[in-house]
Amino acid sequence: MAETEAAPSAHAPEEMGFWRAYIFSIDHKVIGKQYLFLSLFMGFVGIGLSYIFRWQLAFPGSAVPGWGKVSAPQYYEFVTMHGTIMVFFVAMPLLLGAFGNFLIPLMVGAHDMAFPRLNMASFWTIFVGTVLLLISFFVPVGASRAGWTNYVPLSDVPRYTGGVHWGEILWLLGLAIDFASVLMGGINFLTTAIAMRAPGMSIWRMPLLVWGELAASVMFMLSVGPLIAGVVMLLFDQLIGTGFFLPEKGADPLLWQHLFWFFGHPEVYVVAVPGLAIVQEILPVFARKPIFGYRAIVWSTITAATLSFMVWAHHMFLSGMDPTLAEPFSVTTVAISIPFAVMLFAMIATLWRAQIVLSTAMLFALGALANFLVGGVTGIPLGTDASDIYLHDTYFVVAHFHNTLVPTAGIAALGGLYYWFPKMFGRMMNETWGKVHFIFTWIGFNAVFIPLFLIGIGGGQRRIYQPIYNFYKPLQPLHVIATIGLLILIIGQIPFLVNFFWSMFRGARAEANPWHANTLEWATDSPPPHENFHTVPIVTRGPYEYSVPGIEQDWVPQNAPAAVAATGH
Amino acid sequence: MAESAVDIGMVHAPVSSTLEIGKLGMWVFLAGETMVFGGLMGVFVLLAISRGGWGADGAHVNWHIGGINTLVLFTSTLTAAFAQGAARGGDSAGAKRYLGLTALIGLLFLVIKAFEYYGDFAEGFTPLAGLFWSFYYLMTGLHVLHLLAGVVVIFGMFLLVKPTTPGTWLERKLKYVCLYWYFVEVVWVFLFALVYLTPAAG
Amino acid sequence: MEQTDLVTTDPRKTFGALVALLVIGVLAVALSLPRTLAVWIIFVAAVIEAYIIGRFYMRLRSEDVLIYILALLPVALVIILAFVLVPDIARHR
Repeated sequence: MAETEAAPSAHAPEEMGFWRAYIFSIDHKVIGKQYLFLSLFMGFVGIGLSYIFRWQLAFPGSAVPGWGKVSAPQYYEFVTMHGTIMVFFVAMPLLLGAFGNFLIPLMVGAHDMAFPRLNMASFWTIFVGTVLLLISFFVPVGASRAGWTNYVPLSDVPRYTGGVHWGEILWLLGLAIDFASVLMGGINFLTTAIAMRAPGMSIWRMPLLVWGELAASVMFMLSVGPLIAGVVMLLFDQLIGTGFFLPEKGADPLLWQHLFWFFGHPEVYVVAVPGLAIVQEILPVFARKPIFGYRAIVWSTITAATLSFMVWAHHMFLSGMDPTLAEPFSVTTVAISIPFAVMLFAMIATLWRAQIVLSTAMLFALGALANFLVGGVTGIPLGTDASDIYLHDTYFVVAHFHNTLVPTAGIAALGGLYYWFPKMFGRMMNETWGKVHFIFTWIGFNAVFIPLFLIGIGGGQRRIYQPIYNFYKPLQPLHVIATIGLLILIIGQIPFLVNFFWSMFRGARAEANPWHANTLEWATDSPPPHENFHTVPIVTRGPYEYSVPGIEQDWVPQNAPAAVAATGH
Repeated sequence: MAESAVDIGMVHAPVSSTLEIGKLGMWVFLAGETMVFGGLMGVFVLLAISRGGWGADGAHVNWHIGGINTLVLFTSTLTAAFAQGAARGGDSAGAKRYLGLTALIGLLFLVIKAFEYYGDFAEGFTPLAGLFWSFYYLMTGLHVLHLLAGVVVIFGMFLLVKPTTPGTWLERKLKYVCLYWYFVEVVWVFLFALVYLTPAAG
Repeated sequence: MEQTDLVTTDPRKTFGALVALLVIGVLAVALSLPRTLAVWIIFVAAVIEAYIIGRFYMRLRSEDVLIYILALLPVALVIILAFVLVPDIARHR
């Protein structure tokens, strides 16, 4: 039988003392919540940065309320750090660290992750990486200005960025440490899901969230290596003056782009796939219908994960790379839209003729689905070389990736938060304020990015501090609308914060299964006991048996006695 | 279908009963590590091809010492394999001895490497001496760090093991500890070929 | 489940094979063989050494298919990456 590393002798938090129970805990549920709080905090840092530079974009040269005037170097610094923080220190820790950690053992019926101490180490590792990244704002000349993609030679030579040296070094270190943390997490996720499932849980009875987290872990683990190599090379360049990427030393700057995007593209699916998986968990529960095409979704996830390694150079069509690579990568990129289309069709089909309950979680899931559709479709003109020649480095790209990353790492994640909050904290969030939060968030988000699509089509380039080009000036009103949209979005987070923290302490007590859902996490208390389940669950069926003909109750838990199925099957 | 609570129908049992989590976890980790070293080596090879070989830049790499170190590392994996054999046979005292020997030989590798680096530096072959030497120090340096970690873990195991330690427990632990050590050896095998022998050839 | 035939493989034989391959590789350099030949010998020797370590030390063959995939998939990916990078990095600019 599978074994785990020795757990501490005391099991219940009350016996462990504050530090072991809440700070240096090896319990995956506590660690998941630590990731949650860290990523939410960093999310607000990231949004704060966007507030500053979006104000500059809408009202160039004016003083940003609460901040002051933004200089060009500051603008590039904030744009760089916004992207870096959101992708590496919000999206990944939230979707993988928080949801993955909290849910995987519960959903597969295990009592904890395979390597609880490694799990704790993974959180404190990303904590260190986060601190280093935040410190980079305050070192001489400030944080990295080279874009979240950190292209060389701009990021290679301090002189090119106006002297950023320590900021760049801390950026590289922060990233390397972040990667180490996610790798550690991935070891746990894969081992736990493969080797510690409850009796009766075949892989075809695993919830789609677990599949999504596994696919993400595999994609990350297999793609990050070459970038770690690149990061170490760049660190050497900055620290000791080697020339790994400098043409004058005989190297090729394009190498960085290849190494970055070989990872970078699977990385965006590392974010997208778990986000979509959260939607796939929420939809059946609030449609009271099985997910349509469970196996099709699983195979699509695996196909997309595999193809994700073959598409990276669509980020480099205009980089000066060998043009021979353009066609093959365009073909693979269009091909990868197919498994995603299958997933989206399956999710829509789940809603067809369903008894839809518009809870807050469901609203966020539907909003995520709608916007991911937009994001996915707008990826096609970017992923084919011919149209990308015009659209590359315009705001069309920005709007495209925000319509994929925000629906998954933001909107779906918020939906997941409303959905699993009762399980995490043992209390219910306020539904009314949740719906207010949704309306502000969704309308605000679209008010930001629909104008940005239009700016991009109009030729508006990204990473431009102020609209000095004459052809750009007619697009300015769109920037103003987008910034107003951002203000709506930001204001809408206030009811969320109040609701979140208030409910944590004063919300109505949650029962074990307030949503009448089937997956195993709902088969135990809210919040679960330290060992997750009082007795090991025996799984007898798949996760999405809702409204099964012949059974009166419209849901059948995964660990229901086998006899319940006898009538309908 | 029977109606007992444990009836799981026609679904076969999960993989879990045959895969030990320590081994599985280690392999997941090694897969990621392969991408790091593989990435570095791939880039190194491509740049070498683009320049038609490292030529004069790589001619001064000390493959004699590299060869000796390879022999040292091979010996340390031999002792590691002996440790595994001893554990399998229930001889924990013997396993302890072999683990200590492995750690010592690993340390010898590091000492020889330190001398080698020192000698290279003395002759002016620093990481700034050209692209080849930048890669040389980066790749061998990264390998050194991994080897050092391995030495520390094996030494830790050496301290932990007592003659009364159950052989089955030790056998399971050593399976993935020694796996890591063999991985370090595989990386070195390719490093030696790429960074020592090939530049010195022809 | 480990197969008993592998359990009885003497590590000393593995060690001997590895040393022999090491000597072959070193000789290719020491004897100043023509460059292309030497590089091929060195490369082939390294691959065989890696195979031997994997087969006789790591006991890869007696492992689950999943482990096999975990061990070999990264290698395949690195080769694909290097292959795609050839036009940009390996061609003489």
